[in-house]
Amino acid sequence: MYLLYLIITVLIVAGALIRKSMSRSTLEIIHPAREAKGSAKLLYLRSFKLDGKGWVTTNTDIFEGLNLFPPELDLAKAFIKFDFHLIAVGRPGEKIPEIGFDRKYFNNDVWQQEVIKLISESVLIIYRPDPSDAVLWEFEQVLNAKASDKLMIWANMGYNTDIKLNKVRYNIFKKKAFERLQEELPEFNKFKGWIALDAQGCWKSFSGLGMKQIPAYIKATAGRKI
Amino acid sequence: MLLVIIMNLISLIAFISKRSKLLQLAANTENTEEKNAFLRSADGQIWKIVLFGIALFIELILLLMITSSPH
Repeated sequence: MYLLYLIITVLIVAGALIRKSMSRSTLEIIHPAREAKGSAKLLYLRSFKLDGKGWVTTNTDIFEGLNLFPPELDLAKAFIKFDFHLIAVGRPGEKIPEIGFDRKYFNNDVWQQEVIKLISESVLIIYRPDPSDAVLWEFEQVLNAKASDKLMIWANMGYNTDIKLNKVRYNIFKKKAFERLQEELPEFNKFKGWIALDAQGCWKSFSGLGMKQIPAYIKATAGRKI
Repeated sequence: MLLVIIMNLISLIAFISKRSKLLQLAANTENTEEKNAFLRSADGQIWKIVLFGIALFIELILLLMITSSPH
């Protein structure tokens, strides 16, 4: 019986690794092609601390090194079916796990200007919040550029099933966003991981399945499906 | 039996490593609220470590009994 469990586990791990490697190689081919074609940009803003990781700590630490189901890769896959050039900003010289997005590298002197430029050029912005000030700065730039109507906040706070920890981290971000930017974001909802402006222009939480009802998503993806 | 012991041992190591990682994150965090959340989460791992530790101990005793049995 236990041997059966072991075989199932090995099969799942092998399957997940093959799936990950195939997704990665497909995306590596698609990104340059989309860039050359001049496809509409989709910008992904996040903390470098969570880069390439779905979760900083998980309940299955033994497989953490393998990073079997990187949600950022799945996120990229969910949007690559539309004619988007998926972009994320990286630090020069970094060597971090795949995140599924085409990483653009800028020096410390110019990265802020480049991020601002990318914010205005992108048709859709996915923002993964974090309590750090640097990530809040990016949120501020989106608001300053009056681009909040094309913003989707992906409230994946990086700690998997540890709801309390995720909630505390989100609440710190929410508090900072209110104090510094006077933006009243919705309460943490473990079932609704997406936050965006609704049709009335108020911040609202959406579930993963309800993502397709987000006005920013509808507007950006209309007529782009390949 | 041996497989169960190996699986329990892996789980135990995973919980211990998760706890140490959370403590490390707490030490590197300046925000008090976030630091407390990390520490609470690290404390939450203790009962899992104790539970799996006891299970592993019982399994090892059983294994010892089986292997030392004359039949």
